[in-house]
Amino acid sequence: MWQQIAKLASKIIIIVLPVVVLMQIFCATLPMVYMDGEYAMYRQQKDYIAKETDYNRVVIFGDSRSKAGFVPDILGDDVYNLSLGGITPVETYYMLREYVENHGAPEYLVLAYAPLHLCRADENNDGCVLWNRCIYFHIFNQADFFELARERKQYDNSYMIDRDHIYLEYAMYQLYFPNKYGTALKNAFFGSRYHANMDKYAQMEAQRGYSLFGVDGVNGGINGEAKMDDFTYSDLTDAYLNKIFAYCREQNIKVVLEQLPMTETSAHVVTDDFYKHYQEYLNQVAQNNPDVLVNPYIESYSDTLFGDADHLSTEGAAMFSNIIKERYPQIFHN
Amino acid sequence: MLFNSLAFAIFLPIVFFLFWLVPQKYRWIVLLISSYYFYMSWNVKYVVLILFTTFVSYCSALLITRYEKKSSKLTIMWLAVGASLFVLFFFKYLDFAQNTLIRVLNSFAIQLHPLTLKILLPVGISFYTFQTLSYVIDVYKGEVEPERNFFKYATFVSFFPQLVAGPIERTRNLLPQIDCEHTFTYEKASYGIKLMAWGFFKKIVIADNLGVMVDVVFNHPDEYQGFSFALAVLFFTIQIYCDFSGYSDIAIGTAKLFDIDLMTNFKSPYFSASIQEFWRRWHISLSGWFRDYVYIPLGGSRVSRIRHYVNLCVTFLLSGLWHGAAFTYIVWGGLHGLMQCVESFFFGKKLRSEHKEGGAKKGTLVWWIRVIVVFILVAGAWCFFRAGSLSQAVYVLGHSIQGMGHPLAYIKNGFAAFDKGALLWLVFPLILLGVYDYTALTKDPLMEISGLRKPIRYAIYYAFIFITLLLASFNSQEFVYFQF
Repeated sequence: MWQQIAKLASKIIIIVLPVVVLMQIFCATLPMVYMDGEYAMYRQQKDYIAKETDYNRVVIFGDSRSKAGFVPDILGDDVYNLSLGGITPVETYYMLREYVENHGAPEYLVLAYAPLHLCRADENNDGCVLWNRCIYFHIFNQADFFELARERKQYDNSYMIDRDHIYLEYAMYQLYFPNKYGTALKNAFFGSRYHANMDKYAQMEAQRGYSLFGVDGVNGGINGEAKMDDFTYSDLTDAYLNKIFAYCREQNIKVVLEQLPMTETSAHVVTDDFYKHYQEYLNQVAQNNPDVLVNPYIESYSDTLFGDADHLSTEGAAMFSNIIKERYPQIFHN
Repeated sequence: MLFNSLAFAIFLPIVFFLFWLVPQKYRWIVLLISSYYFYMSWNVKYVVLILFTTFVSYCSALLITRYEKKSSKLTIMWLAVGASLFVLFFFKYLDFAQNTLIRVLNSFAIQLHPLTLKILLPVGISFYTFQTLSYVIDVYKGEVEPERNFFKYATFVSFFPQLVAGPIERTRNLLPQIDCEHTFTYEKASYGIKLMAWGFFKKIVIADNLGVMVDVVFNHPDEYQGFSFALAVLFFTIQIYCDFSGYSDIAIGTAKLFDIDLMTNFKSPYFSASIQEFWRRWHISLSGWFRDYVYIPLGGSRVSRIRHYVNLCVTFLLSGLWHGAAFTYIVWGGLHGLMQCVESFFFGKKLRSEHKEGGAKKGTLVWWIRVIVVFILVAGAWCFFRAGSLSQAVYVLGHSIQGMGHPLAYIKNGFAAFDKGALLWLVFPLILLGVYDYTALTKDPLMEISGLRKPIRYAIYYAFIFITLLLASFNSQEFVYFQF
């Protein structure tokens, strides 16, 4: 009987394994061919943080709004935008640590997150950026992941990190299992993404991390905050925001917490409760961290300055960056 | 624990090896423990219900054989049926019943407020309740001997491959297999694996991908029109089949790994030339249950014509209600009953003679036309099954022909509602499904593949694995029939 079971098992392995392994090898070696457009941004940021060693006086971390809002070419030669779509303070903390290890501590750290990325994860869809982007794109260090996984139970919002069989799930990403990468392969099956991804990568390098999201000349719609009734902060992102501040204190880095503007349309739709509770939260952050410069006010810009409902267009980003430069002359003076 | 989950991928090999590792006489214990673990993985509290239903039916069957008087046997049987149906009613139909009652009373200006019990529907309750009912009734009829060992009987009720979505097994088929001598045969296990693979393909490649498109339209019907509705109904028709028959194939395949044969639950139902034939091919274990325990006791077809039609309608209304506590399911069942009445009225004799000869002659033009007509009728009825309400179903069906006056624009706009790339990727799997099911009308496609020369066979296997991995939706979506 066991011989027959062994025969069956070996047949299954002979049939399934070659296909799985070939797909894994392809996925691991040629990510630029099949990964979606954001991969190039994540890859460029990771490569820059981990492989380069040049010094920047000011670094900017935040989400896609920050990526599309802060233009280093306007802000100064010693500024680098390391923001990434969907990023929260959780991922930022680990990225900042790695950045400082390789590049040295900058003089200033500018942070800017959309309020929804500081909310409880069940109220916004980007709560899974750790898994869906960072781990999926292989840009999150193993040691950092294990640290995060160990500490996750301390937080109410641990489901931003948590998964059923968390380590097995992580291993499947690490080993490029087809159940994780099959969809990306399928989407790129009839059209390689290689050139588009390489172009994006080169553009990110050339513009020191800045990237346009959305499309110039197309705007309107309402952003994520306008779809929410109220702002309730996540204890997880709050804890990691505080970890960033503590780390910056250790490293003697001055921190600014900035706000990106909203479209006028969105600003009218966002509820009073949302504004009120968001500002209360940021005032609390400022009170607890007097050394951090916190701007709790979200401005609204004309819809025409946006590339989509969330992100500034090229023109909007230029205007915003100039305003920021004037607002903080001590930071952006080159 | 879903079949299409990582947990099951770990669970099944462990149970498989344990089962074959332990001596013959203890193997059913491995099945019992693993089945209860499998069931408790959804919600530990649910175990009380399945234990209650198992206990009541077990005791009732023993009591039935202890009494000589027929009236006493009958009383015990009805008490057992009543107790099981009460549990089913309480957990599945109470909300629906009280809301309906309140709505009726409100229309007579009697104001009542519903009790809010927030009862979660236990997974698989309809399936195992019906399995235990058939056991008690069969024991009452003297068709099967009652099982003396409670734990062996509990294994029969809870056997994990078919526990939560069938097939609803009959005592005489499954119970003897629980404790018989099991022999591992390579051919049987290999066939089981292939059947599982085919079931997974139907579920994660076809059903789950189509489900996304169906949800898009049915969740926001006000944003769509015309052919989009027709396509959504068509997609749901395929989705529900692949979802449910996929589950059955996985269940039957899994059971074969333990040298247990479950009954066939689907036989290419969309290649039926009549509604009657459809029901001989669709969810066979349930339609057989209703035939044996409702339709025939009501008199079946051996009564006056009017009574026969009433029997048909009652059976199918109950079948609809079995599927879910909502008027949409009842209407769906009613429509099938009605269609069978009409079919029986006009073509009764012809269909009976066809059935005696083994079904309509396949492959002819007339047969194809009949298959298409039956498919359209069945698809139309599925709209009620999927819709959130009767009014939504009527809206979707009514608006699906909107714009037909301009056929090209009608079709173009219809397809515009869906992701073209996703649709194109599904073309090959759907052709494969059609070929498989058509072949299955006359022979077993899996056996046919096994008979091919090795290089061709392996090429098919590799291509199949590649396509499945590439096109599958790995989001562990629940099987539609779990809600019943």
